[in-house]
Amino acid sequence: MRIDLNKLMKLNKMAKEGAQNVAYNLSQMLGIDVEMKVAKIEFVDLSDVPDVIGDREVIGVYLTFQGLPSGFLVVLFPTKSAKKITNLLLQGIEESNGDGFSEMDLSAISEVGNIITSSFIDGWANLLNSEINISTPQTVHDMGSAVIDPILIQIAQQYDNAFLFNSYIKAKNEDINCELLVIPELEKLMEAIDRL
Amino acid sequence: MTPVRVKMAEYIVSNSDSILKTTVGSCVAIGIYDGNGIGGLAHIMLPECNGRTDLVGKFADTAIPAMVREMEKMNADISRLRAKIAGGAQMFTLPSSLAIGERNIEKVKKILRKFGIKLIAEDTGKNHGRTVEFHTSSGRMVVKRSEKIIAEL
Repeated sequence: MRIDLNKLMKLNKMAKEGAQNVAYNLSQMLGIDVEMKVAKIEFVDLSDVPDVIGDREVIGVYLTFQGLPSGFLVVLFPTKSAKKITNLLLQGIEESNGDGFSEMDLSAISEVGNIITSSFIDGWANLLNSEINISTPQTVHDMGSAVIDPILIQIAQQYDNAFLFNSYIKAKNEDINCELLVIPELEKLMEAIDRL
Repeated sequence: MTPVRVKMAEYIVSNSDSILKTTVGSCVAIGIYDGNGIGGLAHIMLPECNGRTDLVGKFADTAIPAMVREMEKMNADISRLRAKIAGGAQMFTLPSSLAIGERNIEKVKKILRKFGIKLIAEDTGKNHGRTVEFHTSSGRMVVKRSEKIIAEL
């Protein structure tokens, strides 16, 4: 595969477009100032990804997207941040119940994950003028590296490497952050940036 | 002793009483040892290599033979090899992730049988991740979930 610098610049534009949408929509939803700290693209060995994420405990929201491009997406919330988000969203609805996560907590996190995801993907769809459909999100509470593992396996059936769109989202005044990882299918991604 | 990390799609064999560590979801951690000081841990992603000869650590059907060969080079007692495995979970229930964990486990067991390696213990399936620490010399395998021990094999 050959990729020219010009295409890499286009990829970067795509990442930024998605990230800007996320920050805006998330600020609206949570009523706090949210910023996208990093929006970077890396060409990675799949086998390097788990170590980058580490074994820390997270709430992961996972989904797939179909269209131009297709691929996999996961939002990782460190448990502390997840707890803060549920407190923000479920204020007055649910009593805080210590360290664990109730069904309602998880569904609130899933909703935030959904906003992040659809904002990001909508940014791409707008830029590419294409239709991209998003699956129903699934939420899982586990170690980060284990959450990402099934996604890497899916890609590994065809490839050993991937473009990883990695964004770090942070609330300005609250101790809330999360990480967004998007891995498009390589061929579809190339097809998509040819459109730009 | 500080554990040595085995990366995804890799394996490590040791003859110096090491602790090897890895974290798996739907992937499978395979610990093989001869009980006489030589042992190794693999972290496979997929059941079959389909003819590929590079990245042997990525597939069950290439990683296990490669480990056995390396243990043989270290003068391991091949006839006494035993195995313990962990992982192969189904982390999500999306149709696209159709039981890859289960397929991984099945294939690992099949290859172990083929090589006459006795499967001593396993902690597999379910829907959660596992951190595995494998003691190459004793064959002890400790399975943790977010730092809490959930199984000792």
